[in-house]
Amino acid sequence: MELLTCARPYAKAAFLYAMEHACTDGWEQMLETMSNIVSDQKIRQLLARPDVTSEQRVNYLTQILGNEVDEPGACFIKILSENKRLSLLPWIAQQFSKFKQSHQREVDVIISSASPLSEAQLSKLNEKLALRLEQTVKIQTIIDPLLIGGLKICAGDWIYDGSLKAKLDQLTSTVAT
Amino acid sequence: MQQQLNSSEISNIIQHRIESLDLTTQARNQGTIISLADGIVRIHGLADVMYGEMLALGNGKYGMALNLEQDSVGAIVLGDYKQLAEGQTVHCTQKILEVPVGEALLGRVVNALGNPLDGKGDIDTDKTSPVEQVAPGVIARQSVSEPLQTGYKTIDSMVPVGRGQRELIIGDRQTGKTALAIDTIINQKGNGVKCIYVAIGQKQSSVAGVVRKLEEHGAMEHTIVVTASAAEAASMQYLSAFTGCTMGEYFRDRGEDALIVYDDLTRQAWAYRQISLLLKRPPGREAYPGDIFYLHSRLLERSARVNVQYIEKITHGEITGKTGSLTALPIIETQSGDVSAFVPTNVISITDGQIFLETSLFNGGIRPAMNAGISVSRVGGAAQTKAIKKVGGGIRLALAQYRELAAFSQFASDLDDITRKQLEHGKRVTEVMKQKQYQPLSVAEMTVVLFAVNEGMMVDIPTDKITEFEHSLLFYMKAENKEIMEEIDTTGDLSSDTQEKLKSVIPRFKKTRAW
Repeated sequence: MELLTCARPYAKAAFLYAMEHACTDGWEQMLETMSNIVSDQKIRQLLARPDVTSEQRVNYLTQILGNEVDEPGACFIKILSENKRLSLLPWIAQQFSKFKQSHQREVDVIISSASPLSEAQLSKLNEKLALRLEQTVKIQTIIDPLLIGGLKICAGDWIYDGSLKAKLDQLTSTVAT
Repeated sequence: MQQQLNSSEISNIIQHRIESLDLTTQARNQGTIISLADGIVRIHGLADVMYGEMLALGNGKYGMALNLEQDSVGAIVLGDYKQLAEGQTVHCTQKILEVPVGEALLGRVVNALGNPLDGKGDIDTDKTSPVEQVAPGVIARQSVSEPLQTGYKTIDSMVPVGRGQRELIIGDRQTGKTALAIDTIINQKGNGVKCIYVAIGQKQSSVAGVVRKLEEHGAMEHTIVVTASAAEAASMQYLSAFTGCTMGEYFRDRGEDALIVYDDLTRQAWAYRQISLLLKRPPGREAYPGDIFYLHSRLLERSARVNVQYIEKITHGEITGKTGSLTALPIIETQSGDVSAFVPTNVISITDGQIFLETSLFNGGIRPAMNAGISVSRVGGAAQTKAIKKVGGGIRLALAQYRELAAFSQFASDLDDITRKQLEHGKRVTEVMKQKQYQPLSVAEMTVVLFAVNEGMMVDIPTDKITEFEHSLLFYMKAENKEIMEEIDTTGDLSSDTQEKLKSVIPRFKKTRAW
């Protein structure tokens, strides 16, 4: 988690720049692409070679990215390379997405249920969750038969576990202790 | 008698548990373990966690959140962490750690979480209390005025401890610190003071020995033993002192008197240092964290005497007209007599006095090995029974004069009469101050012995016969002069009539040569 701490200033700087120039979606896409590239094992090994200079790293990456990166993006890569922080790109991308979501007051919510939910149920859940979380909700559903019944709602760190499985687990631990 | 549960009782218990179960679904905060090492868990998530909150780590394990960082939460695991793994989910409980409290804990040996360790079954109490609590404020307190008798002549005469006081016992290893504390606990038998002995980082064999001694002397009935041995996690050693304090506060807040012994706070400081360093908190002097003073100050401030209004408010009017107290006897172990080290000086500045035990005195046969010159009780005479106060003043003076003249003792034959008498008197007082373990004296017994030595009635007794003389005198007094002893014990005072009686009784005893 120290990596996330190191990545934050870069992500924040990138986000503030993107906000100023109204291109947050473009930057998010660009950072996602950069993150995927540096995560590749061969690229990682190349970038880690001690005989490769900072300038060479920047050139390699911008060549690989091609049209996916604009001039400010290339500048960003240069700063990261000079500070030896290219490996942080996955965390920078992750943090950038969080900043964007937070700014747009959006939250990803995962709803797990034992059986598929109807459109009406999803719509009602969307409405209730938006009211509760005071943000725009993007629902993703997961079917998990192990829950037996009820719902489990995960919104970031916040969990509402109303599944039958959770209640049975609670009963088990109370009786067993 | 071992309790056997029949089948209907087991069903009843289960039925009761099911009926009392609350299945209301609540929203909770969740995180994921990203790192687990040395009893420290780093968790990603838990955005709403509070400092000191209990975390449910899964598999029945709990932790306490101590580091709230920007990207992770650092928590200590309360107990063994072998069943935990990276990637496991952690939940907030929205509660601070609570431990069981109440009379049901008396006579039991428990761990830092209040779980029984003595094999005598579950603890039958439904009351719990948070381990971290704010100490009573200034207005809620009452000044210390009632004595807590340790049963030791040397302590009760020269460094008297009052109910609600914090008196530090400090000395090197093997100087009798624990012995002093245990004897004090034993001496509380029958006078309504509830005792808590907190063993922090001790050998389990030592704790077992202490429990056995307390049982032998009938002291376990009024004692709770909280233990976090050297084999336990640092988190448990750190918490055990607070657990014991919470259990003592229960009695304090119900208008009763309680005594707590922390044996010892040096080990608690080591455990806290270990936790802090593993949590990557910046180390300060001697690698202790910056808040090591606060660790001990907030613990010891909870030992106090509280007034009637506080008790009435806390108990919602259930208990009226009573004050409560929690007396603390923290123990600190020094290295090579270095009382100027960091933790000893911290605790000395917090407590209301200290009892210095020295290795040289111990090895010289003076036990308790208390250095009367530098030991002090800041409460002093306010916490002494009148009888002891009348005879105690002469003791300190005699010992001080004896120490001054001790260098001349080798030239005893060349000294003037007054100096020689002072030396002889000092020697006898020193002998009288010696006391065997597990032989506490009552107020009356102490008064009689100290009166005898103060009045010079032992001047013709050889120094090596003083101990036998003392035992025989007390035996004589209890057999032939019970009314004098009862009068002193009942009134707590040494009236002039009683003094006159003693002035005639003791010489009469001396004529019998029965020692």
